[in-house]
Amino acid sequence: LRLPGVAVLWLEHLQRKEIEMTSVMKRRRFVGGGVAAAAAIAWDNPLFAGEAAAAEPKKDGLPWDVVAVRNGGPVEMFEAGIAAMGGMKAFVRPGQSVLVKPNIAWDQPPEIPANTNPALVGAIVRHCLAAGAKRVLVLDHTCHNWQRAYETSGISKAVTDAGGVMGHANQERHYREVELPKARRLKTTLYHGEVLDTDVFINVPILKHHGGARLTMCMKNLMGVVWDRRWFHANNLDQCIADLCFAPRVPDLNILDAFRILRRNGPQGRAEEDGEIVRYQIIGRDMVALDASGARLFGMDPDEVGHIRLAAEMGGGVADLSKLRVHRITLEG
Amino acid sequence: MNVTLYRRLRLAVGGVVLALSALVFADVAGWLPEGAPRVVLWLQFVPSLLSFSGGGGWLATGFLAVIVLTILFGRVYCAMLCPLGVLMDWSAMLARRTGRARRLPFRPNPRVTRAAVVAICLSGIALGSAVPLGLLDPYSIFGKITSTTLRPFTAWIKDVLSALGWLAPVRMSPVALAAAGTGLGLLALIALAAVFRGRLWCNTVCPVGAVLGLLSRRPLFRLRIASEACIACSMCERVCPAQCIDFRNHRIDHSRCVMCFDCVASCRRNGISYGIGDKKHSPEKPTLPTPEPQVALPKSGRRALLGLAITLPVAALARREGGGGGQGHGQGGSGQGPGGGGGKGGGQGEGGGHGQGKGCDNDLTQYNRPPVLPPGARSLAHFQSRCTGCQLCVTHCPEQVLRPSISVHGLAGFLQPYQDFDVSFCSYNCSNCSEICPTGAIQTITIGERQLVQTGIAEFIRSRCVVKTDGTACGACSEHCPTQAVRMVPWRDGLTIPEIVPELCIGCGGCEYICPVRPYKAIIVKGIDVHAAAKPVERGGGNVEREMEEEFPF
Repeated sequence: LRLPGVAVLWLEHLQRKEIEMTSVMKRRRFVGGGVAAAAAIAWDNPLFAGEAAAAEPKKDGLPWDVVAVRNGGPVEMFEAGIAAMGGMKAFVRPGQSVLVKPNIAWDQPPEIPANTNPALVGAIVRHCLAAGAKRVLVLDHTCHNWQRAYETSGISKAVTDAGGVMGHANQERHYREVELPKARRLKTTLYHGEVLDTDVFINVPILKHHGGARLTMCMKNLMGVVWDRRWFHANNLDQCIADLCFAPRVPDLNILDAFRILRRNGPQGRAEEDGEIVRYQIIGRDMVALDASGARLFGMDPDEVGHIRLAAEMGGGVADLSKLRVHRITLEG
Repeated sequence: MNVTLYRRLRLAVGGVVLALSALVFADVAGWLPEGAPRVVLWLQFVPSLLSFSGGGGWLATGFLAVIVLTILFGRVYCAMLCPLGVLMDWSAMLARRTGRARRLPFRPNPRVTRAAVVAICLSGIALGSAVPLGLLDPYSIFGKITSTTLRPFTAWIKDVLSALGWLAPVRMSPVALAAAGTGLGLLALIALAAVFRGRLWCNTVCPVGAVLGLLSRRPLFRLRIASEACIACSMCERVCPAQCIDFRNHRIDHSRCVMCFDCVASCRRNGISYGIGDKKHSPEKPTLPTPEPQVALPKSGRRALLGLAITLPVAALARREGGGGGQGHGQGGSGQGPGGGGGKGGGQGEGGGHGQGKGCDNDLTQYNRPPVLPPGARSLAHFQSRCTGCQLCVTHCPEQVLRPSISVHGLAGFLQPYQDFDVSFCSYNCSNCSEICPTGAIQTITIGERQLVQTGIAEFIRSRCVVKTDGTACGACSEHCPTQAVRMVPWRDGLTIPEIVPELCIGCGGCEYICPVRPYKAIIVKGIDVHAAAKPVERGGGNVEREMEEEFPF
């Protein structure tokens, strides 16, 4: 709505100014473990700022690059996985703000796995708060009506019950223009302001079939913090998704929900039989590595998925798991 | 009856009716409970009558209550139940308070005009358009006004508050200039008429006023002037906003009396009373000659009004000939006549089996397709002859896909809603418009029924699709399709391209809304004249369980 816009613009301007000032003052990126002290002062994300040649495991002080857990409930697997990573403390420091970005795109109940498992999102929020986060904001730029999607997915309730806050992402005013100098196609885009300003950014996608992009996981889930998605579709979708690896703010932690995956008719799904219970969860910092593992779990070669192939080629991450320290955990029944 | 008490009651009830009716249209934050509009608008005469004639249950019986009230007590509907009437009284009161004294002389009853208005409204409906009625019916006018003036204002307030982080953001489709203009124009007309001529509108062009006037010619309870008390001071005549008191003859024209009781209060000798019948007060010889009315609509004005009103139903015909795709049997939909935006129609007449992607007319665009009606509208004919364009569904559509038509429905559908897929698309899990429609133009359906109503059919124009033109992945349309009527099938280079399964399509417009191709989208939903049944999606299998494999697959 652009009615007497002057007042709105002015208020927004004031608000934005304030946010920018505070975020500049306190923007730190906590990277965890031993190198944390050095990395914490760095303003740019050290993870993906490397050259295209950086296709090798990064030393970021985490015990593993990828932790894969299976054979449990979504919350159980998360708790086992995050413990193996060193606990949520390794990612969230007391007093930091956290933004959790699940997939809440669709007005679909949890039985049709179009959105991230609500129990998992709730557990993540609880862990962040337990680690001392001052606020945990959960949002998604939904495809369906955001009120319906937040509600039907069960995520709104799970988050509020856990003490988190649902945020908004369905208006242009929530976004700020950013540049992606290392991108091939997506040189500039409108990126969610809360994501840019948050201390810790946690990406919680769900593994789903996708009619156009073949599969949707970590990288594709970042389209939910972008304003103009039609532009992606009109300008080489796969390349634009891969370019998101070079966004000014990429996740500090990805948790790929593969407890109940969407086998077909994705990404929205249309019936419960489209959903398959496979009981996996993959945790890690490298979106490309997680997406490649997810592709294999789905039964596809990562190279068949255009955006994974492109992202690996551009050095957005490592698709070859043999080059990574992968910890595989199978829970007992 | 105690006059002061009645007038207080009138003000209070009127205020509540006005406030609630306004809130029904301007409630952008969802404060009102879901069923509120039906309860608040239960007594609105025209929507209730229309709904009743279409077989809408007990909720459509409000007009009967109004008829009974009118026969018993006169036009109390006009006094306090009609939001537009209350709005008029308030504007007049405001004007009086700011110094404009009202002096309205008696005027003869414009019987011909009132009859003509009713005739025009009825013939409009008979000819297939409720638009003339919608432009004259007070409830529908009130809806048109509030939805285009008050509502954007409340939305703006909420928008400011949401920018500050206090409230959730608003979702509102833009208000078309022509719709806002119509709303403001009607508001100005009504307010000015009220300020200068009291209830002129109600007793000349209001169809409800005409019908209730007919019923209130001899109500059981009525006002009367006691001849012996009258000193012919003319106060009652002056203050009567309906201009229906002839003080010289001690006569009150009950068919125009809107039961405001201003006259009772104005009489210093308590000469006007309210009670059953008028025994001793029947035909009296005129004591003073009745002067010619001092103010009256100039003849030319009257004629212009009549002319306008007559052209409307005639214009209705224009649309009926022109629009619409030849759905199913040989209606042929050849685009004759001006026929608004829908002129193009289904020229190709594909009949039943819509070939996949082939045989689509390539000049089909989002601008020239037949409009898509809300689910529950059943057919264009049913919908257009019942929708008064009150905008209630437009304001209550959670997806904000419904917008008032300026030109897509043609003149005969002016301000009737259509689905605008440039703004949004229709939810698979919603039937709000059908539950809220007060006239029955959109028949009540459940969400389950909605999921099987085919309001339109998507057509894919492969030559425009980005997958074909650029050789890059997309699938946005299929992504948004709730039934997978648009599905992605393997194409070349590992890419997938859309394919349409027409029998599954419900015409929700998700595919068209999200299609990134410009200027003309590659997938267009064509509205169909008579809504059909979509094939149900097979369901009920439950999730598939996968056996845990020996090794991790990665």
